[in-house]
Amino acid sequence: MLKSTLTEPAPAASAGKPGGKARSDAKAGAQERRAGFGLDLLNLWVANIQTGFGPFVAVYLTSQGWTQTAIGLALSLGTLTAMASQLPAGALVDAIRSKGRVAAFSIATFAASALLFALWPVSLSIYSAEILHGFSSCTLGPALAALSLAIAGQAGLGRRLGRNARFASIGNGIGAALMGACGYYISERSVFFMTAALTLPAIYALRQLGHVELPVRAQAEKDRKPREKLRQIVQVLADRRLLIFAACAALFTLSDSAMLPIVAGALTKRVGADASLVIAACIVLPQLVVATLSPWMGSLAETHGRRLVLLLGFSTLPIRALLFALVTDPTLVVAVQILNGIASAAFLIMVPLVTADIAGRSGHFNLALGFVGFTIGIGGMSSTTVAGWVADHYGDAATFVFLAAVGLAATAVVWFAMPETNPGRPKTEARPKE
Amino acid sequence: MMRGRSSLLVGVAVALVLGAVGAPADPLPEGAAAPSAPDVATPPDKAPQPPVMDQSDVPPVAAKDAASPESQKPPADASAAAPKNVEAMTPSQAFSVLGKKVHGPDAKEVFGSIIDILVDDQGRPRAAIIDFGGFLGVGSRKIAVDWQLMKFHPTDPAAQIVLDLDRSQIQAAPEYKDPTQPAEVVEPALVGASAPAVPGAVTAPADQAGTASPTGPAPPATPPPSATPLDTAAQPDAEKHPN
Repeated sequence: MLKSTLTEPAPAASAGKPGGKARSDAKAGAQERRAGFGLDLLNLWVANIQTGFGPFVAVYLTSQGWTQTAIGLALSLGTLTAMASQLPAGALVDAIRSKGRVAAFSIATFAASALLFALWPVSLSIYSAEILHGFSSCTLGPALAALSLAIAGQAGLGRRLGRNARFASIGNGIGAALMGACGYYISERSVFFMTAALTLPAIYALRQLGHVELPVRAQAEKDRKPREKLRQIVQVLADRRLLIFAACAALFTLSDSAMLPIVAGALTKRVGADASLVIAACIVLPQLVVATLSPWMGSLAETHGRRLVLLLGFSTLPIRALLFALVTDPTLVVAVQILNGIASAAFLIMVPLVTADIAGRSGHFNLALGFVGFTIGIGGMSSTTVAGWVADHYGDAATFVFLAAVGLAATAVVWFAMPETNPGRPKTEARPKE
Repeated sequence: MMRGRSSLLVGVAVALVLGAVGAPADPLPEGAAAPSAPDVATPPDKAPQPPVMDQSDVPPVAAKDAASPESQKPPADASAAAPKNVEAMTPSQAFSVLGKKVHGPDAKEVFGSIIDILVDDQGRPRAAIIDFGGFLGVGSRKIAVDWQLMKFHPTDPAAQIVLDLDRSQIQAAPEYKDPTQPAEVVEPALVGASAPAVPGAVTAPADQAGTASPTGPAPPATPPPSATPLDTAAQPDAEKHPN
């Protein structure tokens, strides 16, 4: 049984690209390899599932006769739940020994909320689904990061996260394609049935890494008095590097989140019948870039430090925003989205990586991740609001200039304030992973 | 301190959840409770207003506006409990439009879907708000079009709702912002004349009506050629009835 399940995911995973054995850990036992493949696929399917819960929800609810007010309420409910859950969910994941179980439970919750969406598009169940999804997103993200840390170890984490990002972006691309097709050819509702169905392969992938998760937990698992634990939590969250990084991350999303929606809106206005295709290209191209670049970026972070990768990603923000202000030709607009891919790759990898550098072995990794997620959420939420306001009053071009300024500020904070967090391979890697 | 903040947020969320869960019972905007399962026969309650018969084309909307979408099946023979003044409307007489797809003049192309309807003080529909374009919900735009540009074919499932504009006219239409601001509605008469109306750089004025004036439209800026601000200062509609 084990043998047969092992051979299944292998070809699919290695089809992604060469860098197959991305772990720096010397020991390449079959089981670890299998766990690595499992993690690859898990990232792919989870990203795939998450696509269904994006902006498409508004399209679906509209088709079900929901008013804009009610849709807005449902979406804000989801956002607020996610925001409110970040820290508690992080703490919860820290407290639960088996991250695999957390992940499984979160994925099952995704399935439940997708089914709620599909079967009963009435207020109560949609609101419940939004809440369930908002919360389980906050447990799944940290759980995946913790599993990655467990499997790859601190030293191999950068490369591992690079692979995660690659497979997640492949999953996003597949998800967008599948769901676009479902929505177009079948019905809006079918998208959520498919989302629910996609949780099955995700659970299957998760089972591939069942055994590997435990080791990392053992070292952080020292029972302490609650008092001391609290002090430790404060110590982790008040770490100056974490605070600066959280600020950078918030500025990043503040600059980043609103760009695509505004560009897409402008495309709908300018480009004729093909607008939807151009927008689809604007969404998919960055995913391809992430899939291509992220393993390389993960290694780069290991060999040349976090700051370099951060600067690489952040500095594309002001450039992209300014280009969007200048460029109107649809082809060029799509081309500019390559920069989005670079930024996303860097961001996807660096958020868990830097957080792990700072809090990875404190026993409060997920809490710290939740904290960063919280500030990211604030950035994302304010981005669309603020940018929407600027766009209404001063037009799209001014909005892009504004977003460029924010991106520049984010880059400046990284440049001047963010210290290098790479623990330096041999010295701090006290825990013998192998 | 972090804890304080998070627990406060949890509190907010809980409050919100409770509020939201309570909501369905409340008079939420029509769509919220209505879209429910297809099997809610929801027969009564549209009866009280027998549609004005001279506009035999319009009533579908008025009816559906008040009642649920999706109630495709006619209320089969009201049973004992039903009030007396019940009229059965088949889907061919009155059908749901909220959230339904809007087709182009060739009945083939799908422009978008109806997300709202603006009515005048008589309750007559004046304009449809249509959401079009985008991919998976990213980049869609809302526009307001005069009700008379809409053609309804209840019995033709392939193109129940047709909008008599071409794509370039839709693209050129000014964006519909929100109910608190004057809607710039694409009118039928002008549509014929000015072919590709220039996309107005007319961003709606109204510095934040927001909560201040729930209905009060702020003084409109000069409207773009193809669009008329739909104010309470209703022009007598009239002209040709749709189909």
